[in-house]
Amino acid sequence: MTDTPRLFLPRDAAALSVGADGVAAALPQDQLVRTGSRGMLWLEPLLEVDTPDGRIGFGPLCVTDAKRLAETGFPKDHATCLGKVENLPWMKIQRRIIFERCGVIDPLDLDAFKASGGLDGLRAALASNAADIVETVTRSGLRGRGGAGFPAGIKWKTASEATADQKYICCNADEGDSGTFADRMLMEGDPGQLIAGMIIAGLAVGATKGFIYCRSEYPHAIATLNAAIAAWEGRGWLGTDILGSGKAFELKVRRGAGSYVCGEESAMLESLEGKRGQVRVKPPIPALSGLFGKPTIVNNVLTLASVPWILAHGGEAYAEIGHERSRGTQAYQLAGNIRRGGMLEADFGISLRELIEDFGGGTLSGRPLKAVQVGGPLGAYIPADGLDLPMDYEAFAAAGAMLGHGGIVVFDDTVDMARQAEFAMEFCAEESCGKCTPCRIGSMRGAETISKIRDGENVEANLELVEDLCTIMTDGSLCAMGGLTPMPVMSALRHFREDFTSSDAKLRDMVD
Amino acid sequence: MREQSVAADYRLTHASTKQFQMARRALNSLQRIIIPGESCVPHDIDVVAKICAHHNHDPAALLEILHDTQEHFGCVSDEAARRIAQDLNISRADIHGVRSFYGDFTRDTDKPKLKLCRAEACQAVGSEELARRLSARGIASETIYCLGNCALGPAAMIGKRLIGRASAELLEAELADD
Repeated sequence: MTDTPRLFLPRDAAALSVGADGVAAALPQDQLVRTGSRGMLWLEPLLEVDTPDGRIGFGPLCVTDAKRLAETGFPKDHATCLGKVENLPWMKIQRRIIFERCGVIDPLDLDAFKASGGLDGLRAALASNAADIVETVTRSGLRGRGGAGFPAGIKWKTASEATADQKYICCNADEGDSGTFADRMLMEGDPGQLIAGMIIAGLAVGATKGFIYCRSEYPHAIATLNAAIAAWEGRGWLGTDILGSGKAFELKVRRGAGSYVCGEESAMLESLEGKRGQVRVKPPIPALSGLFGKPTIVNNVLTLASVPWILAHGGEAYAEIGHERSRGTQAYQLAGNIRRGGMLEADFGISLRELIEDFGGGTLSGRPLKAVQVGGPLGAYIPADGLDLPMDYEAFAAAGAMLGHGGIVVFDDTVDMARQAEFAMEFCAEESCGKCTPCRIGSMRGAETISKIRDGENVEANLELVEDLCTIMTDGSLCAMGGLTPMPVMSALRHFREDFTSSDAKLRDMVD
Repeated sequence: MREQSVAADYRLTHASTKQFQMARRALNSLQRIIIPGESCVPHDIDVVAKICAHHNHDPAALLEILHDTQEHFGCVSDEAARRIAQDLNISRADIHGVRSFYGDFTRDTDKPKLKLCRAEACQAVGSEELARRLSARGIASETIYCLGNCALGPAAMIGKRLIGRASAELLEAELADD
């Protein structure tokens, strides 16, 4: 180790939330590089010290430890020393395609980005033609990471074949699902990967304008994106003459404003037009008539951020990774009541049990696990005996669940599943855009009825009513908000019926 | 105070143009003696005009304009909404529709400083109990569904500062520091 090794400390919002800035202030500033996070959030603030053998990790650090480490030259026998970061079990299993640079480089250091091959995909796309880019993405088997899993290649082909004076690329960064934060981590940790992906999408479909619709709850991500876009424009990597190719792409960040439903693509487009985030009736699909009525690609952050790797390594290389019809890698996010929470990127096909038990280390409280919600507030609750499910779009669908955006929220045995079902309805009532009746009214009646069930009022008859209501919401709603709210409700009812029927209303009254 | 401003606003809404201008001048002159944070009507409307100009009077940038206005004044008042409508050449009803749809925008400066995540991942680590403890201490919080800190919950936010593994004691101390 040199006397003044380079020090790497995340500036990721999650790391900041547990005191990374305080730790940073205690370290020698001239050696310090602020990076994104590696995703091992239970170890944050996680300091990495550059040595000839690789980066040595120290974490989780407090200010006192950081001062002491800096004074003593970062000894490997310190209690917080984790050894080589790359060798940690959490890191070793991963295949990092999207998050290759996240946690490794300063997200705004364009030279480090370029030196680590960040521009390879973009250069390959610039040297290729539109049809070939679409073909490469189609062959890769890349599917939308926002939740629906729609093949990106088909969407891109549709938009590329449409004729219009203007087309748009819209990145959906309205990551509202509880339990998900991979989009945020990427935007804060390696925004260049996303920007490159969006330019490539623009080249593929002939779009010269793009928007990143980022939720306002992510101020750090918004600031990093804006700074990155300005830096890219300053270097001529973005703008009217991308890398001297004569091709143009203009990119802007737009803030959401605290509405969950704006994560639905057509509501997002309305919001981007400066309107209320109410969903549109489909068809027409956005790829033909999207933003301002023009052909528009709407893709999730991680979908677009997968594209540079695909262009650099070829569609076939990407298609070789994965499980069944789910190709490539997925960002799994372990959240809620979990001992080792964070994000890891690995191939599709890993089982839920491996993720929660091997990586997550079980519940944080140490109590038995009762249920896991995968895929955000609209995802199903899976019981403890159902964890041997491979992480794969079709396997989840077959089990009456959904993979969604890869968020995994763990609950211990203190959770009341009837309350969770009630919350799912309340959440839908709160966040519904109000356009269609099953969602707007159904969620309200659903919450009321489950509340009655919890109070022990006509339990069997009301349960039947809830099931009926869920069928109507599933079949009759315009979008996934109302259409999928029955998923957490019905899965809770299916797997944890005793929480609904063993009404101990009196006891509950006493507790409340 | 609130009632007065609502009454003033009602008068403004229903006054003729000349009366409206007179009333607005009168209200503007009141500006200096209004206690900040109590009500946001009236305020320096020129700032709103500058915000609109900064976004090229583009109706598609309405959310950005409302954000900037909200950040500057702590609310999007009816007076501000009126000016935005005028500058963007859209109706006040449109502005009201957008302002009332999105949780980030408020008509008055009544938003608590503290945002507390009450979504599933934070529920799993006791956000509901935390909410009860905060209200027992008389600390107001705004309910937010997800701050993207789901592995280090309960999560909270004060201004743009994200807080992980929040407890009532920690949040009280953070609010005192703010």
